[in-house]
Amino acid sequence: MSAPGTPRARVAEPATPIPARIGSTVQSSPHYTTTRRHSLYGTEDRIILDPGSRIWKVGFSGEGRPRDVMLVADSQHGETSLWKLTRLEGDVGMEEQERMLEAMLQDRLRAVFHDSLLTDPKSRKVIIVENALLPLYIKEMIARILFNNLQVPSISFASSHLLALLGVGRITGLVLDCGYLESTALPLFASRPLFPNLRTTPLAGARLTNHLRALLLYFGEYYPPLTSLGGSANTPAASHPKRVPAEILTDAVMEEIKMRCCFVGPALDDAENLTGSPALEADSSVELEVPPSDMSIEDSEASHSPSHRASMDVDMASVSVPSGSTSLSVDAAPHVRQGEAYLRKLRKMYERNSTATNLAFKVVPPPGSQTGTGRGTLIVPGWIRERGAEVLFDGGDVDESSVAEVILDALLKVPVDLRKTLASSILVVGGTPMLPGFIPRLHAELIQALTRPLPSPSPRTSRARNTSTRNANKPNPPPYDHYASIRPLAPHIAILNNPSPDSSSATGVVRSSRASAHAGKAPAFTPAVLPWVGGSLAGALKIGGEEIAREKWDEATGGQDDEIGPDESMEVVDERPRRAPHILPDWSRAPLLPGAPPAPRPQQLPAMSQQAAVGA
Amino acid sequence: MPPIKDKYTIHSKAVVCQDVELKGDITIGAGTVVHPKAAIYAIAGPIVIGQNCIIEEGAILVNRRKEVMRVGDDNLFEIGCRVESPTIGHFNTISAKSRVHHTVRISSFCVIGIRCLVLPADDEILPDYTVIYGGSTSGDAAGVDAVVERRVWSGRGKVQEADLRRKHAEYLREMLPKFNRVRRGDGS
Amino acid sequence: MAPSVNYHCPCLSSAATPPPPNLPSSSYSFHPLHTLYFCEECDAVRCNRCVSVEVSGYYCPNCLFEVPSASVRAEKNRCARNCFQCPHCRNTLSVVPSDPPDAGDLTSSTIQIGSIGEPPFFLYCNYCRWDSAEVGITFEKPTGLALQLQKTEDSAPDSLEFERLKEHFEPFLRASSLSASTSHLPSTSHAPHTHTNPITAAASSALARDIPGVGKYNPSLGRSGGPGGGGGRSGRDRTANKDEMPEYRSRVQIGGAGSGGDEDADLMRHLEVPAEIARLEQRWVSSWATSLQSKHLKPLRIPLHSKPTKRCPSCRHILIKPEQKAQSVKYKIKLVAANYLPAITAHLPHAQIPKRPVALKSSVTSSTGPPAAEEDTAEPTMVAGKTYPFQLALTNPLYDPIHVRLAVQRAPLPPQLQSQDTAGTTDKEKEKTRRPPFAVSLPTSAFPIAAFAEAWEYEDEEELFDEDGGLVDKSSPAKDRAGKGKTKTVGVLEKKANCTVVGGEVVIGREGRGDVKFNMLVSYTYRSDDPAPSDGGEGDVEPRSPTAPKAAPEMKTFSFFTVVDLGVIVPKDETKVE
Repeated sequence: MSAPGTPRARVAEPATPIPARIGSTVQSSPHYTTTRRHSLYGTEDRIILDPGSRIWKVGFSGEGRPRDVMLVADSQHGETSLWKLTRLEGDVGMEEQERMLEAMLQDRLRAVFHDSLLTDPKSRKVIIVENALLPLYIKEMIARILFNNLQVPSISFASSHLLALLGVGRITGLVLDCGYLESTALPLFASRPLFPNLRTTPLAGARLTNHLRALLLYFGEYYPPLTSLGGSANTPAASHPKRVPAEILTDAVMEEIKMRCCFVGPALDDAENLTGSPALEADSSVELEVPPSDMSIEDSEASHSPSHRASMDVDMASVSVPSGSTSLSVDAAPHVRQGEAYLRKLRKMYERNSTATNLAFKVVPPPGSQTGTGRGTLIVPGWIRERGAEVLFDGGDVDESSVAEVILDALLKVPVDLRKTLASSILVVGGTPMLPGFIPRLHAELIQALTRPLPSPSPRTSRARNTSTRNANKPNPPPYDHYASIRPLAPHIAILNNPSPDSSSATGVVRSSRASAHAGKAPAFTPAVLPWVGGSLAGALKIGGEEIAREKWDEATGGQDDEIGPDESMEVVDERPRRAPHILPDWSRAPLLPGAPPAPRPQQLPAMSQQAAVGA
Repeated sequence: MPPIKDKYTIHSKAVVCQDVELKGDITIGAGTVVHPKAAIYAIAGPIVIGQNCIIEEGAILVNRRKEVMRVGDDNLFEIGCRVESPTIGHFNTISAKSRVHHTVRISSFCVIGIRCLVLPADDEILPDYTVIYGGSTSGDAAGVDAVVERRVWSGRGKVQEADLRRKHAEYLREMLPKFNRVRRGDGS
Repeated sequence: MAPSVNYHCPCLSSAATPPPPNLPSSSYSFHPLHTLYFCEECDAVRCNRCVSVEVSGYYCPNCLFEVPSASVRAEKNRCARNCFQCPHCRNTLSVVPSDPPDAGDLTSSTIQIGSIGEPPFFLYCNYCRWDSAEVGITFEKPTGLALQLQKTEDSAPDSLEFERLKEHFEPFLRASSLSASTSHLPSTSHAPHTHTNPITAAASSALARDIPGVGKYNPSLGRSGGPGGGGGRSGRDRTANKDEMPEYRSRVQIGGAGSGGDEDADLMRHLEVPAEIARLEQRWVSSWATSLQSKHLKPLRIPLHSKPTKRCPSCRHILIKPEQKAQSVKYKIKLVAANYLPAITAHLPHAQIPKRPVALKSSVTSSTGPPAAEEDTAEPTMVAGKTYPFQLALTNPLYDPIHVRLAVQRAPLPPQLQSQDTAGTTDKEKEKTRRPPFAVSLPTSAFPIAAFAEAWEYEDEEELFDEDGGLVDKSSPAKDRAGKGKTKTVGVLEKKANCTVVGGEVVIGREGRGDVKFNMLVSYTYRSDDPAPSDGGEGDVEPRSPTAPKAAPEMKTFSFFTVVDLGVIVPKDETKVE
């Protein structure tokens, strides 16, 4: 076994047991029958931790699947994620929020070691699968807890996007991580993340959940349970459906509906859209009804797409849904109500475009209502199941690009030479792409965005093209095509882990040979676990990235090796400044290093500037 | 409702303990064992229980309908369950503390799990081999677990289970009379 | 909610004083006494959030087999014997033989099968009746099941694919290390990758040190990545359609059932029952695209548990050490705080009646109602604008008598706002700066608690009560009763064996709202370090040496913080309704 810490020592003995030992069968005690090596985990085995805002995946390097996956959100207090996109402002609020977060992180991290992995943290090096946009203060918190409380020997941070690529056997590609809080597209070339080209959008799992909830509140049907158990022999006829009470759509229920009911249908049929457009004509008035919080979106939308009206008519789905969904994103009913008319329009269109069956979903009735004699029934309409996720594909908003747009935007930023390469090695990871049909649909959306006829952002049939080109005769300035420069890439678009590469090629675009050589060629790891698998691989190959050793940390944090407060004899009044100096490497710090670099990272600097250069 | 007229028909080979609450027109078949503190209420219509059933302590069988409530053979009603199904087939297991509403008819080889509440809004017939079990831990501390899951049993192992059931009943028929006073029906 | 007292462990913050109790985060600093440990070396309380945990043994919670740590890793922390969990309901599965083939007529009373099992055997869930034959798992013999299953597990596509990925990357790492040492070595040994060496080396060196990575081959990387210098490479790229590394060829390409393709979308589209789709928790551990359907779920091996040894985080002394054997629930070392700190329970006299079992409520209130009649007996909560007595019962676990002094924490709480109020005021700012809506009075002088003695556990309490503290104690119940009325509730109310009850009082402001929750500093003085902790507990009781401890040996003081939560304040207007 090679010494730890020499990264390119030949991995003669892989740390995992190789499946070559099945044959021997001595029955006495199953534990000694196999020829697998009886080693406890060596220090070679890193712990791979993929800390999402909602779900964590943990396990040992060299294994093909995580040992444990856990929901870390504080669901008892109705939280859906451990941290949010926003951070409270102000001293008191923020401090308190951070204290809470740190305490919860500590809980979860301790549970990882003590309950899930059952291992001693003091002898385990840790690789953290780090999302590029993991807030620094959370990163520091995690490091602080791991070093101070759990006393792990070393931590390395590895970019989740890169690891995901490793998981499919590549080091170059454009990775979209569609998680819970946000979707992030990051191009990587030759294992270098091009961080400056990173693009992100809040259209992700949380938004989908909120959108689904809003739709269900309006269009779901709810049959409460029978009121009395003892009742007489005459059965009450099927009770009448009720409006869905907001309380029953808890986070857990929503997640289950998402998981067990929802999927992503093919792109909306444009022809139908056109026929339906008269009904949607009145839409602009409706849009004004949405709460003021949307006005900014309205504005940006208007400025963004010059052919505003056309976009409303032809492809209202792709433009206006975000505004609806943002207004609906909150669970509170009154807030929702304003968008009702708008939602009805939405429903009309979605219903036409869905063939999915309605589902009866059993839900626990709200605690306040009558008696707990069973579960109520929530009818989830088929069109919600199929079209709920449309919200993720509806772009047109500069601040909230669709998941397809976020990929294209990243492509736009990438140096020209790399675009084709990256366009044909798109990788989609994260929990939300686990929705059946998500990736094929994303592919279709990408193609559409690149092939849609010019003036109108909406695409597809030649009919649409004709009408819309005629519209372009309007005295408007020549339509601005955001993606003009990457339109030639359309035939090259390929999603590596597209499970149905062939069906989604039926978009009229002939795929280049390169695209067909890449599309759907990734191994069948699930998108959600790919970053973790890559981390495991990196750990096994000992390329986990720069290690921060505990000694270094202790040194940097002033020998603050214990986080045990002073006992009562010591009169320490002020809270010690707990901010660690900049010891943790982070890409976002690279450009901000004009002054003297912090001592403990001498060879850190060139790499950083290097990355910046690459990206520039 | 007219006063319920009691009429018990207990087969001579059945073992029905003295301390059992019976009301209405009840027929109990051969080999069936009724533990003390069980209750059988034929409120509206008669109840007919088949052979080799086991009705444990605290179990309550209620017939709320006019027609005859028929319970087939080799059913096991565990402690504290409450069953109002109009018909019950054979070889079913109604587990402890579960409640089955009168809107449910049970076929054969079904299992109602511990503390499960079976309460469909409409009349329903549980097909053969239906298994209902508590799907999550969200049931409140007391009472029944309304959050139930449903499966279909493959039926594998049913012979062994039936065999066990028979032995169970046989043992009880032997042992119960030694420690309990046994009731004899009006006409046996 | 019954009043509670939790104990502070200072591990979360470096401040000497606990956080204000009304901050939500403070709940992480306070723990029930029974979850705390006590380090004798450091003379400090330790909690489960700060102790360092080591594993002293692994065992299967189902078969209680002690798994040697050597095999734990290979078994992936799961039982390698015959213990499996049902994938649907997580119940333990049992191994059963198949039914005899002639299972024709069940209703005929002539079923005769012995206990001889017929192969094939399969796993069977007694709860939801799932069996492993449904997913095609059967066994020839009923033993060593995990071993029999091992074959399928080892050839699982994810681990094979993983090995393949490793093999894919390893040559590059090797090549990069080679070329790193001997700058440009033709990579003849790696035939498949024929494109130029510098790029390979660049790619692999980049790979070798990825993330913030160190650019060993900066020039070439810069060239390929930068917009200016990428021409040559990307030209090659265009023609050869090559990445920097040879294409990885997947063993199994994505696209089967469960990988989220059209097939799955179709399944979802025509779904009739949501339960046909497996739940998230049932699928998320699987890294491989597997069927969405719950009917395809496989049995799970039961996860092992560990017996942890817990150490003090600062001095490394062992606080908890369990006995090795899995069957044993005993500890070799057990330094729990309950053996060192007095146990404190709080209760509100006015709330005691309704706390009786609800079923008995009517009768109880009628019989015991009068004493507390002046209080609103129906409500265990406190109404704004009123004054309530409360009682704290302190129980001494030590073999020595102790003297306890209680103090409500003054307000060092919000960074700047130091409200030096009267001794009774806690800082309970609801909106950060608002003053606490209540004031607490506690006995200010120290009071004694008799030593713990085993004998007391066995003897009749009443007797002891008379014997020991007759004088003091007899007066106290009276005082207690008298105090119920108004103000004389503060002070020592009752002494019984090693338990002393003191009374306090809380005055709630008219506009009070929120919880009555305050931090309380408890200091107790005890005789330290006597090797023979005077066992004659009864004799030793010195109820009246209040503050001045008898010269005696050395006296030591230990202080700790607690948070006392008495319950919610009911706003005034609400109660007026009734």
